[in-house]
Amino acid sequence: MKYRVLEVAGALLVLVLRLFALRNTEPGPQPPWYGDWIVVTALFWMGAAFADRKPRPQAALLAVACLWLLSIYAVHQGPHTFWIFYPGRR
Amino acid sequence: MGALGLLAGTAFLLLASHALLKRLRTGSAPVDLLVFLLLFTALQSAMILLALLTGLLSFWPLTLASAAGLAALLAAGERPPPLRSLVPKRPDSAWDRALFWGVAIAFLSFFAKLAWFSPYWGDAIMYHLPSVAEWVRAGCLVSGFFHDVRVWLPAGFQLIETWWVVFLHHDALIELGGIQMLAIALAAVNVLARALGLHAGFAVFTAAYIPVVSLNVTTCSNDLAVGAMVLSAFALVAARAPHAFEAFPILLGVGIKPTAGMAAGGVILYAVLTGRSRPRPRVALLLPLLAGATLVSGFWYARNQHLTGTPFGPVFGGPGTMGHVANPNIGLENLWDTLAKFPDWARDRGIFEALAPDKTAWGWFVLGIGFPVTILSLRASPELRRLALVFFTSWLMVLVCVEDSGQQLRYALWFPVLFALAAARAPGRLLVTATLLAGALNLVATVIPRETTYVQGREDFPRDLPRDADLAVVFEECGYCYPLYNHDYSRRLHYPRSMEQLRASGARYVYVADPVPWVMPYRKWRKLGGRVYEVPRP
Repeated sequence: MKYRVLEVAGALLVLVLRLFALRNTEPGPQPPWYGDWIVVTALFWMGAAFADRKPRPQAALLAVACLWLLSIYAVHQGPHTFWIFYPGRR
Repeated sequence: MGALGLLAGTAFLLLASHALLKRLRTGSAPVDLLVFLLLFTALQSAMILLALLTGLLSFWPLTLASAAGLAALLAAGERPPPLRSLVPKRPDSAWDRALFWGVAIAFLSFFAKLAWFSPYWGDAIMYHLPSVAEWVRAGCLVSGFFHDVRVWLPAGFQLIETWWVVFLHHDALIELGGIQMLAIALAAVNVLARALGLHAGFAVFTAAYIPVVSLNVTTCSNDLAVGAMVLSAFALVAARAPHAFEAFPILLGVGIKPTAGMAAGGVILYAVLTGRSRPRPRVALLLPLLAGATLVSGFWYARNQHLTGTPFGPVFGGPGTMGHVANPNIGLENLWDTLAKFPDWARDRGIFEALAPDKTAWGWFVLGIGFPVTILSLRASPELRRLALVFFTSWLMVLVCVEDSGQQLRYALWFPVLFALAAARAPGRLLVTATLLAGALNLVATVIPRETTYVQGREDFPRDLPRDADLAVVFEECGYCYPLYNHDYSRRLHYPRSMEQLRASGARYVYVADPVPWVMPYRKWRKLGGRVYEVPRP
């Protein structure tokens, strides 16, 4: 990838804007930075750009990002996935 | 008897589509399969529309016409392909077999839902399917028969659903329309994946298990049908079909829902980006096909123009009664509204539903696995970057054109398929395992559609009401009417808007969905059960 610096800058911009938004958004429960999927995705994008053409670090980064994002998703969706097993919810 | 008619009709359409395909043949089996399914759908729609317009929408005319067509095709030497050629090849590796059986299980679950559930989804039983019921009962086209303004929306998907019910005069197979649309969508994903050098089995499996896609298979909703047409258009562009033919699915889609037209911008951009090197189209065959698709789709807009003075009917821009559909607001503010909420919606806080209210319902794969893998794939593949650009363009165009109702992401059901395709670039064992697990979680969450637990339209319906007794239905803006027709469409419904109309309808019974002011005397009428009352004779 020729434009690694641009990529890192783009991901950094997304990260900064998102962190700013998380601190200054409308009222309501906001996730902490480590519970926000945009922050994690931006961090992964930066890491992927740094680890360009290095398969092993890239695979490790991918595994960490997937686990992190799946954890975030599980916190929000997990209980609802098994709704058919809760008789009271039907 | 009805089943024989359906078999004859479907055999005729299959053979006719095969005959057309032979003349259009692209040289690629996956593209041929997609084109075959599109031709089948187009002929099916055209045949039902013709029957509606000629008043011949019933068992005998359709069966006789189909049998005559079948005989003519056989006499002309047309033969179905050998059965052996239709059996899919055994996948090579264990992982491919797992993905193959995963897709088979998804289809099995849809057939189980078809057998188990009657139409249950709110919008379908409010205003999509009442059209089907009125057409089948009348044997001809009936327009504007009630005052839910959404009855004027294009009804291209209802044509397909009507095919699966008209021979039987029963709605047992009505969800086959959705399964047919999923088959088209997955055939398109297969073409896209192969054209871009991706793992087709992985992409097809992942797309089939996206909850908002799988939930819309059996809802009788038209969003999956539009998604299938948009994906088909992208697939034909990727497969370098003649430019004229790339428009064919979009033309069909516009007759299903205007959102197909909104998404067309991305398809055009893709056609421009992929260059001009295309085989020369067979004008003698393509022109009638494109003209036919334009007629079948354009019919609904022409009808609305003729009957209501505007091509979009009273739904868009007219003085409709429902605020959220009567005043379209096309502009960038729609897009900003959606994008501002998207970070929250992507977390899918809540049970998956076909409408996907305040969520994406994209499921366990897309956010957790699809997003990071897509970043890697886009970094590595210019073809995938191009595909992502045109998918995004179409997605943004749809979001500009639809207001924030909290449910607008379902208008672009085809969009999350991008992540399924991007992740299919070089899926290793770990990725396939994680995707199979994500698919299993999505299946658990959607195997019983949430909406089936809502009681809509038939709550406490009196069992002793004669099955064929006329019933007047009173609602203010919309009501869950379709179940009241009965599965065999044996009940006639009236939709009065005043006491005079109720008396003139001759209906002895009334279903009061909404206690509107003029029907207030119903409180003194004899209650049969639920919301059904007996209208006293004057």
